[in-house]
Amino acid sequence: MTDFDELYATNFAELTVQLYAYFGDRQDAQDVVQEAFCRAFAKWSHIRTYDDPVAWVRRVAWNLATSGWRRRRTAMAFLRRQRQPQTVPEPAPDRVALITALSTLAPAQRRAMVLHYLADLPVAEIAEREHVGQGTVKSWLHRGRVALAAHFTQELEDDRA
Amino acid sequence: MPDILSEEDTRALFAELRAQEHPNVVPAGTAAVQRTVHRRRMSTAVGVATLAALALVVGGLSVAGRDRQLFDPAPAGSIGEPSTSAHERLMGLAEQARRSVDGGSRLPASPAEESSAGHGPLDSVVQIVDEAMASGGAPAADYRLWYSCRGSGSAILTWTIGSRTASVTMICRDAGAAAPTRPDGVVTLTGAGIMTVRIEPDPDALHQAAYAFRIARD
Repeated sequence: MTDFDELYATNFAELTVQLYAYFGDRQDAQDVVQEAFCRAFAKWSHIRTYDDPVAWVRRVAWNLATSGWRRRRTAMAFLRRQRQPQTVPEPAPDRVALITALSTLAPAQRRAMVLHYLADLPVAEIAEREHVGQGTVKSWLHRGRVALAAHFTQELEDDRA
Repeated sequence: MPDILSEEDTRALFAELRAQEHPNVVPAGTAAVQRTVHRRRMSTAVGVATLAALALVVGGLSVAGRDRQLFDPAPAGSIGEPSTSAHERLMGLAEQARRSVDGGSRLPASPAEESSAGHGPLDSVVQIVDEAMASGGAPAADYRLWYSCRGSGSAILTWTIGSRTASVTMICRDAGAAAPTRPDGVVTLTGAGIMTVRIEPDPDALHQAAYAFRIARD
């Protein structure tokens, strides 16, 4: 197994779950992560020398994820033609609830939630990525948790009704 | 339910999502990665070869046209005129942009000083030129980025080194033969880490313009 294979095997699923939480679409997430690894492979002789190659792949994956709907759809259509159909089980209801709740957040807020709680990035690093102050990120995370609580409360009430 | 999810509950929710979702991820595999990269490299090679062949054919026709004119008083028409295909025009614009950046930028004294350079058509909504070098990215230093855009419309260039970012709007001008031989502009940035260049053309520039940039350490 090469070091690229190892990087791929260790990080593909983790990155995909992060992007899935952001997109709400597992297949889109897998496509974007696969594309990020393709770009890494094309420059692997350089990237393998980095202290943290997966940080590069994560950055490219998130850049792709936020780089515009049109481009993404075009790429998705192309990639779908390339891949084999896959069968995966239906998501559990609580997972759906979290993904649905996240989808109600503004994109930057949603990214902050996913990067902090799924990718375990510290507030300072998210602030750098998003070009905002750490206070703004903390505020996004706070409002995100408020929005999630409100969403789950509403769901609970709907279930009782 | 409280008005806000606690930090612990939120972490638990996301951990649960991670645990449930991991087994459902079906990676396409590194063999697919290698195939994709190989296919792209082949496409690029074929594209370059096609352009080279076109240039030879056009050049040959041009010479043939000139030779025929010596014996035939009738005008040669469009024979020998440059092709007007969009792709060829874009590649021409990219070359113009590159020349202007190379012409006016301070060329590095040694290859080690040059950090990154790129040029090409603006053929997608976002061009991400992910280029970085050395272990851990670019070493801490003052960097300079020269840029040019040729064609129509405008594009936003965002340059990142580690946590530092600079952004500039490039106005894409179609100056034809009178294209200036100096870069349209220059941006400086001090930083260290992974370096990326991201270019977002507006609708007028998409498929109608080309960019070039060159980065060097001061």
